[in-house]
Amino acid sequence: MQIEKEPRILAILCKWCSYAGADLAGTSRFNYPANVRIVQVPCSGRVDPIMIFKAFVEGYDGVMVSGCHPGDCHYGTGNYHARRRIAVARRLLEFVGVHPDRMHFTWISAAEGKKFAEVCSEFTDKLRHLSGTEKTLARKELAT
Amino acid sequence: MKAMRKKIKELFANGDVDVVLGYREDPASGEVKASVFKKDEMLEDMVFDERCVQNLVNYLPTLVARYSKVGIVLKGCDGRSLATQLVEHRINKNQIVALGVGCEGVKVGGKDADKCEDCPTSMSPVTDHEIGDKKQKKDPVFSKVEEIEKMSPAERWKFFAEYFERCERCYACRQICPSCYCEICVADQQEPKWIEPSAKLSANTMWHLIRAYHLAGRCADCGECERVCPQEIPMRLMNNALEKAVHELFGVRPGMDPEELPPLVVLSKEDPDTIMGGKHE
Repeated sequence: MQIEKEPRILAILCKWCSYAGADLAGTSRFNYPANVRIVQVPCSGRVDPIMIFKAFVEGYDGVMVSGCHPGDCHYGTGNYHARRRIAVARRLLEFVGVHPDRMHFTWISAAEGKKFAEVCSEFTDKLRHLSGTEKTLARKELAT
Repeated sequence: MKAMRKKIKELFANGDVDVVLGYREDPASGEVKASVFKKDEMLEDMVFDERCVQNLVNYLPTLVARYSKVGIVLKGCDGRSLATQLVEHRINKNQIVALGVGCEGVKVGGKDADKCEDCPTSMSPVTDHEIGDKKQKKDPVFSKVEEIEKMSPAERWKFFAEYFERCERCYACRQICPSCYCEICVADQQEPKWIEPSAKLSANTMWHLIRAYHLAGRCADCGECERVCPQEIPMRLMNNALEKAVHELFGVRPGMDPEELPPLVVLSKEDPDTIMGGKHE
């Protein structure tokens, strides 16, 4: 019997909006899949694409990055920098063969607990539908 | 060639330069190498032809630290490279006398170099003196990148994994690159150790992703990384993919305008959210 492996997702969330949004999802008791592991960063501008690369290489099936909506950054302009960096990092990852469905970049505010739960479920669903051969880049040494 | 020697003689005579960085043919072996010309007497060995592959900009930081005025012979691609260094304030323009020479294409191992195929400019974008023809293409062409983009993600990974597997992690690509000059490279950094030093697929993948990403919007496509690679890893493909991405996303071509800041240094509130992929409300 073949056991379906559940996708593992890394979510990198900014402290002021998206992490608070995830918190709100919890306190409001919205259900979202347990596949998501959250890392808190001070600002989406702190997200170095090396973190995203490392996550894929270490075997995560999907990476999600979320910050404050444009204009709402706690530090003023962090998310504008993040948007440019992520756009370029995404193109590089796609170019070397990471399926575009394995990355999700979005804005979630502290009031959008519902949106956080929805985004997580949608993303997990998408990853469940990807075949094993599409899960490229993971450490060969660890691959089963 | 004559015009170039005459110009350099003039510069030495007027005291405009202390040294000139150029290409010299070794009379004994016939090899063409980068060379520092201190006086005009060695000038008869100076050459400029299809054998002058090296990017001389890599030697500039050491020279400007030692001499107050440095002349440099530039091909089109090297000129773009110099422009990226000037905009990052690594080199002071006042210390440089840029001699742009119309380039007719260079040869690597007897064949036309790959980088010359889609060459955007035969003349350096930064010049104080121009010698020879100026040929420019307006729209960028990335024929090899588009070929890869037609493949499926899994095929693309198969293509690159084969090369990444071969990487020895000698870091020749980093040492030769004029734009790779961090005091402590992320690949040498111990705490946190983002990239394992051993040459295995996972660590090599990290290295090549980071190398390419750090050059996004800065790489002027001089092609030196690929030329010095002992394993012939197609690094220019990744560099070009990002050059294409940066051009499509932000309308910037690194090195073509010596005044334009690298796109990942500046921000724009007008960027659409769709550049990050996916749908956004």
